[in-house]
Amino acid sequence: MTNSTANVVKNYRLWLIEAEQPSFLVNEKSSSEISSYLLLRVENFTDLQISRLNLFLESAVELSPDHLNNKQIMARVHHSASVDPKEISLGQFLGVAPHQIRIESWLVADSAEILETLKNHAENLWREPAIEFIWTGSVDAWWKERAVLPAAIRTADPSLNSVQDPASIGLEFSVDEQRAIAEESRSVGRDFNRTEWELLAQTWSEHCKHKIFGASITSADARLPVTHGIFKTYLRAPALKIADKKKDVYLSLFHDNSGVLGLSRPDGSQSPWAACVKMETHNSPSAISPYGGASTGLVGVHRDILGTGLGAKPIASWDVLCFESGHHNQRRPQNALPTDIIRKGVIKGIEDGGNQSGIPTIQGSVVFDPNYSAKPLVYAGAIGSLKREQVNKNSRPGDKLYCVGGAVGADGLRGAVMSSRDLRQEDMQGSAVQVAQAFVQRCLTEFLLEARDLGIISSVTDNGAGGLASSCGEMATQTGGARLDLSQLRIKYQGLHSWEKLLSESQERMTVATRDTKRFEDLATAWGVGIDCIGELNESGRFEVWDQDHKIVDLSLEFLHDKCPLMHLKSEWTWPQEEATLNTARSSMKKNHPVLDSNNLFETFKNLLNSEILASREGLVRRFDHEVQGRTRKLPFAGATQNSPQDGSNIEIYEDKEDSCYIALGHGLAPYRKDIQDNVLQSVDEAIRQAILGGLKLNEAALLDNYSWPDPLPSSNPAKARPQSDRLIWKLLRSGEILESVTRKFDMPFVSGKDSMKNTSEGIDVPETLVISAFGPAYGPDKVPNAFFTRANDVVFYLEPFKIDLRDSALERFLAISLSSSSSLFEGADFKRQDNELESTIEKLYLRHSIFSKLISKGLIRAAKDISEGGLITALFEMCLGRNMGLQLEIADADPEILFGEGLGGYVFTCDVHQIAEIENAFPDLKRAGVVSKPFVIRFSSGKEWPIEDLKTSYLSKTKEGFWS
Amino acid sequence: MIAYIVKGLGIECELEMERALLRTEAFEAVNFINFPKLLSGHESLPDFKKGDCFVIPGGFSYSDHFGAGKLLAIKFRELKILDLLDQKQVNILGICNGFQIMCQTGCFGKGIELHRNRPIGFKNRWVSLQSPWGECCLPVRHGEGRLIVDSNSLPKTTKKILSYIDPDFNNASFENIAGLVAFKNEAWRIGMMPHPEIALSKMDHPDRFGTDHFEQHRSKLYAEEGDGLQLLKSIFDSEKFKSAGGTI
Repeated sequence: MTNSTANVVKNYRLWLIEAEQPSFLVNEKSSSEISSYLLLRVENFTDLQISRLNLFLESAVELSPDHLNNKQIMARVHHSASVDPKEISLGQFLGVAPHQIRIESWLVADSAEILETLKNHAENLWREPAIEFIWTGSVDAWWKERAVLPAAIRTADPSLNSVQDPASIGLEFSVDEQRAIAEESRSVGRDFNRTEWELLAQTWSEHCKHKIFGASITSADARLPVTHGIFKTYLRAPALKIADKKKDVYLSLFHDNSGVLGLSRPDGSQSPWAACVKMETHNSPSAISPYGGASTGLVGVHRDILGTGLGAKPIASWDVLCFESGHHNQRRPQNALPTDIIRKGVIKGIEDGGNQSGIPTIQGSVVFDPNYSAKPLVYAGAIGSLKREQVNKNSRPGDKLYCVGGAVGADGLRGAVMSSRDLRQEDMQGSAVQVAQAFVQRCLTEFLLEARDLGIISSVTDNGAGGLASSCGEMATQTGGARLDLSQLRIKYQGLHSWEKLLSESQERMTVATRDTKRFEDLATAWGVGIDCIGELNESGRFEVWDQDHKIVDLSLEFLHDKCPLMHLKSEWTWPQEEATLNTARSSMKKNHPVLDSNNLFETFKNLLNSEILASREGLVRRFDHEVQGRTRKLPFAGATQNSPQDGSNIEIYEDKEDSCYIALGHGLAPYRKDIQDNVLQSVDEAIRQAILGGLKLNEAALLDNYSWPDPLPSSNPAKARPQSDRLIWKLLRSGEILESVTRKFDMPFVSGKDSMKNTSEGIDVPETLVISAFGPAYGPDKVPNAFFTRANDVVFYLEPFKIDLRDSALERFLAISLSSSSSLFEGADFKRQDNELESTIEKLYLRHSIFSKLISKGLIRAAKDISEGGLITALFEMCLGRNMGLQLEIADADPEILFGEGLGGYVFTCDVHQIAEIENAFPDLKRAGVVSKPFVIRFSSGKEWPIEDLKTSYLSKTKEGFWS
Repeated sequence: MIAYIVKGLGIECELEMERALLRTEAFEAVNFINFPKLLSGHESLPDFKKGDCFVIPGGFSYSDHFGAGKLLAIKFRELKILDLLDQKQVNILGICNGFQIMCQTGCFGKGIELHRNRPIGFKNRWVSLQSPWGECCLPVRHGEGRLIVDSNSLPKTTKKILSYIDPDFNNASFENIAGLVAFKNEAWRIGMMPHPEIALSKMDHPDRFGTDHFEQHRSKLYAEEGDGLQLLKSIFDSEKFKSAGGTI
């Protein structure tokens, strides 16, 4: 016993490395009372590695337990990942495998009192990075305890055990699915083994297979009686039709890891470059481990880009974050993390994931609602660039398969399975979530892009959910078969089971097919990137996996990919029911309520600007590097003061040496809209408007859909019945129908999308959240308008939103929260809508947007903004901030409907004086808002003045208070 | 004269740096030094000549673990790159992470380091700066840009080249320093936190159109040099550099 203890202790050395405290503890105690230490354990180092280590440790102080004798506590904190990102960096630096190093972070304090405070503090607030465990006690005791901790014992490998009942290994299949598997099992004459069941669970999971979006649906709604798959009917079919007409523009849709568009230059000539775009959600992981979930979400979508065509370079990201409101009295799931911990963790995850990857975060949204307590929604999108000739994969039978990137561990197992159902108590331990290591992926990306440019990649895809099982399974379909051998796979530690190797979701790994193995391997050695040959593609029609002479998977490819039974759903919900529900659920605001009185409206507006709904996001945006790579041609905040938020992005591809080309991006969501038609239309409309403000060429644009829906399936358990199922399915159908109309009218196809259908926890449903992004080739930045007023006496025009209304507006939602005690805000229901108004509304929107886009292409619009949350007055106010300008309004008095009404297609803008006539001719429904003025006030024609300085203070106060930090 | 840009291992800004250096027209060629390949022995260091410039762009080398720039700085020391550059009288320019790496390697003297900003946190914002050639406005994008000088005064050979003069930005840097220059062996070493490489034209500025912007004027702005390009040009123009003494 003594001997073994001594042996282990020898491997540990303790170094004081970080002089500074972790940022969130700095304000807690003075730094003299707490020290932070790193414990470093090294194994089997060569002399060279030791000398490098000495170099690294030159400025560090080596500590022995004696040094710490007078200290009272230490806390050990650790990432939830099995390998700390720091170990990866240090491993790379030392040129050793990261598992040869073990780094533990410590806090050491002087007194037991600090111990208790710190422990509480850490347990409550330091959820990110997750705490592995906290040690409290003397150093001596710790030393002994740690020294004799046995290595993790691995049980015998069950990979080949045959399984009859999947429930016995904790997997769930529907009755139909079990029947299909049993049938296949009978026809091959054997029971499937553990590995095969795990593989099927992943491949057939909702997360990977999108069964609900593919389901055949019978509905009681007369207009939508039977739908053979929402995705196929409403998204793919109309998209393919358009793509067929414009083959030069829509190069690849829906079948690759992201949708690809051919680009054009501002002058209209074809560019040799193409751009791809993709958005993902990472909701469940972010609920369990906000930092890890959000960072892997963002870094994961970059891999989708890298896995497009023969490989694309990620050049920009955007994100949409939906958090639980800070204050509400609704029920929240018992296990849910506190809302501020989720918010802070997610934001930090996006910051580290984006900044450390060198990919700019160019736009985003943050939305609050009490029901995001079920799960926070974390959408991460990315744009990539590649050449037109790199768009198609060209793998052939005989191509060798390589797994590129880090080694494999038991991390992230069954992640796709977990995301495909509701969140449970056992999920909250965090073992299915990892922490992204942006640095590793960056090295991997640079290597792969060079290999791509050398022409030695024939196919590439990413290892995300489902790991090798999913990436190789997918690649096998390109040639019609694959044979894998996992014996050579690098593993993080011994004892990993075969099925774990196949299904591990260890991050930062890509799968590549190549014919030029020698050059590929040499290049990997040159870049210092780890690769393992794991098999080859063939035409056998089978997916076979071997590990150490054992065949662990032998399935027909057809069975694996095409035999997952179609889901059948039905909905009894109809439009009259919906109308009645909307009427009882919502009533309209009393127009004569005192808070809406024109004399009180200034106070109301000031408070609204300080609310979660409208407060400036500047403090948040500045934490995300939005200019790295030097492509950002429209900044998220601009003006001399840099306080004016700008809508829409414009990014440059300057690799086109002849003449740069540009990409515009916009996104929208309106989960607070209770009527599904408003919800969907407003999302699409806002996305397109923003992109137009970023310079979008309307007739070459594409759309992306990202659904986060509450679980629409009826429950088989009567105790947990979900009566809302009918309505949720109906809303899905309806949303598809609306998107199809938009696609047809705008001639703008969806090219990629993703749906997350299980956003329910403990019976709480998130609001139906559809994020639409619009994207495409754009005019140059010289045409793109700013979003702030620049010159006094400029005339300010606005195009009033169609269907302008206070229902569900920012003002109404804010008042509903702040005046929750007084129910007198609302009066009788008045929900009405014409059945045929959808088509005509879309028609009107198309007309307005195409004219506006044309004016921008001529460079006529000086400054412009869309009228969205907060209505006209919020847009005007935000445009005043950039240069501290004021407004002389031609609106008589503060009228809530005109100022705060929200709707579709609203713009506010200025132009040069001599171009007013041209603008006025373009729009029959143009309205004058007023004139830009020097004094920093908004002045109504009645003479009433609103000082902007007061509004600005309120608007920026959340940023100043550190709400976003 | 040739400019050599370091890339790899978490350096992020090499492409825009290449673009900016080409725009300055100060170099016959702009080449990359692929650091991972250098470390694996698949590439070797170029044959530096006097007057060449060695450029370390911004980024998050090794994710900035253990301190910004620290690990890559150790690689630099291990490969004795600085000694070689000194010996060949090559100028060194480090931006952001490059500046952090230079400080870690002792380019500007002992006890000069960049620590976490106060208040803590990464910040991306355009800020006003004082340079030897006047005021300029450039973006900063860092979380560890607070200069610490142990002895409370800069060594004789190290001077300020940029300082923050922005009322809306303060990272508690020593004497508001944003950039340093040191002269050694007839070559200079410049490190700075702001990113001149993405301020190439007036159009890149957050207040780009200013108060005036007719259509013709906009395209003109596009061609007009931005503050970053002007700063880089001044640095690489030896006459201009000398006349300003290179310091403020």
